Amino acid sequence: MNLIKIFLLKDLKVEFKEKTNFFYILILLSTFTLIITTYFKHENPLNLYFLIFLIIHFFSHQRISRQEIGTSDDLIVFNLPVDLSLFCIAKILFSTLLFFVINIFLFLLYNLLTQEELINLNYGFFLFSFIFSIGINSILTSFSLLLERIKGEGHFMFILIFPLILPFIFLSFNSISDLYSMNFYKFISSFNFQILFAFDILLFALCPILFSYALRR
Amino acid sequence: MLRKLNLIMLFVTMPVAIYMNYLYAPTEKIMGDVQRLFYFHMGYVIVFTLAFCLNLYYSVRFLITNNLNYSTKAYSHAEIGVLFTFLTIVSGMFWAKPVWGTWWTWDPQLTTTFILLVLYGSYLVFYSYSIKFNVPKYAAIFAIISFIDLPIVYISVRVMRGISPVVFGGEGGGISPQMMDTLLLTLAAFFFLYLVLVDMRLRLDKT
Repeated sequence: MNLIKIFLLKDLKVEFKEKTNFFYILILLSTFTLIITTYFKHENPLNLYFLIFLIIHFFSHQRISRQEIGTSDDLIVFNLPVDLSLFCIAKILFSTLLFFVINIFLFLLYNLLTQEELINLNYGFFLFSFIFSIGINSILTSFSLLLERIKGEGHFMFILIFPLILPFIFLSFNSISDLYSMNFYKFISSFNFQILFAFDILLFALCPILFSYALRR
Repeated sequence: MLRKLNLIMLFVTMPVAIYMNYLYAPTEKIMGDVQRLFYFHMGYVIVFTLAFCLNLYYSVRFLITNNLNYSTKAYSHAEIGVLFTFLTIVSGMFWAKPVWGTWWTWDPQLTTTFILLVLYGSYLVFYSYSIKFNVPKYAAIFAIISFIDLPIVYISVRVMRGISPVVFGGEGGGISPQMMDTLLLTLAAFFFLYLVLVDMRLRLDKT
């Protein structure tokens, strides 16, 4: 637990000091939000909203992993005598926190650009965003960290892992439709959300363990 | 010895399965002859399920033991699994056209099966890259996470709102004894076909 805290605090300190990840994502966010809100319309605006969120995830995960690069062209932490699953958990939590902040920015920007309050801030929305972030971050963070070891070709291999999150995306988009039509209590007891939550726990538990197995020498 | 036995069993069961499929099993009252596709369709399903389960098993063993043989075996099973997932989708489409009036619909079970095909298709490409860059364990992780979709394919037909039929439901199932005999024999035939194909694929790796 202590190690997770140390890793997480280290990441947060680096981020507060440099703010590179944050601004990188913010630029992506504003461009994609502008394009999508201008040219695309959908009966359920939350679908477009999470489409932007998804695109940002795809584009920025490898950038976040690169924060760790050491002098020997490898992540320093891979050579430390620590349980790497803890490192992976800390990194997933860091990405989740970062995307949670980004989500608030996206919410403001989306409502501003569409000139209407299309999305309401409510508990269900925040809960869903958090659950969605943890699940997607578990897969993308683990793989982007792993693929950092394969330099140039790692980018191509990162694209190959996109299908892995397809079941998660389908469950998420089903859940979004419920979010639009149900109140909070109905939403958390809906089938789609419960399956999504179970999937989330599974991914959060599985990815760090697999990560440490993959790097075990 | 086992290889010969598998071949013999395949050559015995497959012609009998084809015979039963077309001449023994009764014609379904509503769908007619097109229902006969169901037996082979189920055969493909059983093969890809088995293949992906074994792919998971060998991937986990490879992660634990670091023995590259397990990785090769996992890949071989996935390759056959992808082929049979594709055949499942194609045979399903031929059934769907006369029955549903469309080749394809985004029904939950069809969608999850399609995702399964895309997932393991990506796994095959990912595997070849992971071997090229000397990181085969990454492909094993990919396979383990991909497997999560397989139970969803099975659950989806029961718990999500869709139009795929539930053949073996909790209310006694919907097929006659002759149909059941045909189905069981077809499944057995496909099981032996699977064993023969895996054996051929593994021998190909050794040459």
